[in-house]
Amino acid sequence: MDAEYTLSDERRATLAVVLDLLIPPDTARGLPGAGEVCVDAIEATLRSKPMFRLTVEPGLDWFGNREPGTGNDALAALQNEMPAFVPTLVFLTYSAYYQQPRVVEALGVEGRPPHPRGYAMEPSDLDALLSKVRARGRMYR
Amino acid sequence: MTDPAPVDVLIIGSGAAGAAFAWSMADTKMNILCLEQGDWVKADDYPGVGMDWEERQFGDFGLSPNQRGRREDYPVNDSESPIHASMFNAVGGSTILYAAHFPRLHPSDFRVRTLDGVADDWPLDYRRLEPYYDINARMMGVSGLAGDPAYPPKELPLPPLPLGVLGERLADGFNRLGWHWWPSDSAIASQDYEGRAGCVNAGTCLVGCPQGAKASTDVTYWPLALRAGVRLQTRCRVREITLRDDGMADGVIYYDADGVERHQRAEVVVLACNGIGTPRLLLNSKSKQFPDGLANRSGLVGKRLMFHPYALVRGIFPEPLEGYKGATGCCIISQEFYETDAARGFVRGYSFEMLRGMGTVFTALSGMGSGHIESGAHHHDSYERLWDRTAGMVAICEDLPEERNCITLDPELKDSDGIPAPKVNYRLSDNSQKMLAHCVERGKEVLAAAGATDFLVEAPLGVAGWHLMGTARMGTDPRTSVVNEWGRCHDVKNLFVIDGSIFVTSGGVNPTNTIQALALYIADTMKQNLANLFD
Ligand SMILES: Cc1cc2nc3c(=O)[nH]c(=O)nc-3n(C[C@H](O)[C@H](O)[C@H](O)COP(=O)(O)OP(=O)(O)OC[C@H]3O[C@@H](n4cnc5c(N)ncnc54)[C@H](O)[C@@H]3O)c2cc1C
Ligand code: SF4
Repeated sequence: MDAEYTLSDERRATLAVVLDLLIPPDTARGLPGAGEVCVDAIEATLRSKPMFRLTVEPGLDWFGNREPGTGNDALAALQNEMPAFVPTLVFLTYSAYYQQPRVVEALGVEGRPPHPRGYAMEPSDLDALLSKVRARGRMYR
Repeated sequence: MTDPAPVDVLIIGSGAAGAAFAWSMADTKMNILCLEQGDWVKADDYPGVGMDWEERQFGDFGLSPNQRGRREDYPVNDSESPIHASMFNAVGGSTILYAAHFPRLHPSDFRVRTLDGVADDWPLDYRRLEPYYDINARMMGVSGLAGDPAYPPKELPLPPLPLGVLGERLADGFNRLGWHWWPSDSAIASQDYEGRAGCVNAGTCLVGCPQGAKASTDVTYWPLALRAGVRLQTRCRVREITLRDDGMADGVIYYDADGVERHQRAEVVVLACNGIGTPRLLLNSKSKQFPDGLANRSGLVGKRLMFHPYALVRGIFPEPLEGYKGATGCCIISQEFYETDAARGFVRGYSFEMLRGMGTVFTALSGMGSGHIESGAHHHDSYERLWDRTAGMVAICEDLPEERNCITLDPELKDSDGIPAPKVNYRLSDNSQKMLAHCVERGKEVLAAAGATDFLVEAPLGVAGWHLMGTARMGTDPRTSVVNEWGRCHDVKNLFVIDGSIFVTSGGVNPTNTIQALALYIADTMKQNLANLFD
């Protein structure tokens, strides 16, 4: 762990662009793009887990130097040229994005940790549901 | 530095078995000490109190000790096994992470040789263990529903956990096919119980339960055992068991929290390090009298490892199922395919244990892995088709014992104290492969009956090396077993094994309830035989 590690401004800007390629904003669903909500989280992961820097930094530099088109074309070019970079970044991005309170709320779950409040659940009518099973009688030997 | 004063009973390992045993022995008022290599986990340390709870399953709360790599974990070389070791090292042991699905073995499981002509019968039967299952149900606080036709009658202290939308949906699938299902016996308090708060359906069970509703033994047996005078020393890792000249165990050598080597002497040594940790310790305790490892004159220490091959079968449903709510692995069980049916082409059988859905992060990552979720312009559409629309099950297949499946000591790999690490050699048998193929098809069939339109399958499930059994089996013949019918080593009469290592066969259910019933039974038998314990 290298407590001082930060991404340069250029790499941060490139990261935001690439993240939006992976998970673009979707206003209809109320979902931000990953570029808006994941840059800090991914920088923090690179700080705490230096092994990810080995694939992420060269990928960002390659992309930053070339700007290879837009949308899925850019993603395809990146995948072609830097095959280790994309799956690593997808893993980091999905992990970071889907724990953002704004994202979780847009998916219909309260944007808070599961504990301590948990979730309410209704009891089932077990007598009705189990009547067939009970009617079978003893099954063990 | 002087060595600590001798004790009467020394327990190694504070997990499911060690805790139950310690509590039961406490009323003897003997001087009882437990050494545990891990530490207490505080409620606030559990991932479930943070938004990053799913991500931490890839880090400090990972299933594999190799992935976590904490000082208290020892590495396991499982590169020669399709199923990888999962466990936790802390007060409470692997119950810190377990799903707390808590079925009993069936009466038939103790008689597989007699009934089906395979493996061996156990030297005890269901009736012998039944009173200890009952005590364990009260001590752990088991929730469930009486009347399951797959079992002899049993009483459980708490009502079942809720099925939820997802559980009802799956139950409907089973009912349509006329297959057995039942609300799971769960070591999770469905309401406040004996000072523990009831389950709040938060669904983080596999990274621990900050609520204390899940019966990890740090919140069940241990507080009572400690109050009754048992001592528990954490961050103490045992290297080997020492022997007296007369061949009886003398105590253990361990490294304390500061890494200092100590010799703890004891009248009785009890191993509760699980089906990998226990044979590792025995094999690492070599002497002139036991050149192949302690208590290993049968040659069976470490052999006959059984895992329970798992199949994971999930279905994708057209509408949301509220699957993020509820205890992860405790919903309903099916034992439709539990008993042998020769027409299926394999012997013995399996249970289906229904799972809740996945959290938001796991949905994304598993969808990425299976190809159901894409990155880029269509990401949100593909995510929506999966999010909260998966439900399914694991099948827990009975694993028959084979000597080639084993734990040995790795010649190179060591833990942070320099103790040799265990190595796993394991292959799936033909019987297991046929059983896995069967349960995948039957799993899909019932999910389709419940309305699923697409499936996600992993069989065998690679991470599922969490049921560790058979590596120091019990039996009446010292030539073909390591311990006798109450856990005492045939070769060393003051050395006992009380964890899943002593299982003769695996059954097709999760083992912890039986591990603890056995530990309680062994403690009781020891108490009844105190005067002639070593005869
Ligand atoms: C993810 C997961 C899910 C599971 N789900 C279920 C389930 O739903 N139902 C079920 O029945 N079972 C389940 N299990 C299995 C269950 O956790 C185990 O069966 C049970 O905990 C085994 O009990 P044990 O006492 O034998 O060993 P453990 O609970 O593993 O405890 C062994 C203890 O010994 C200590 N130890 C080992 N070696 C040494 C040493 N040399 N010195 C000092 N201390 C040592 C360890 O640190 C550990 O704390 C699950 C396990 C996992 C990992
Ligand atoms: S669902 Fe229940 S048992 Fe599981 S972690 Fe939450 S409160 Fe604990």
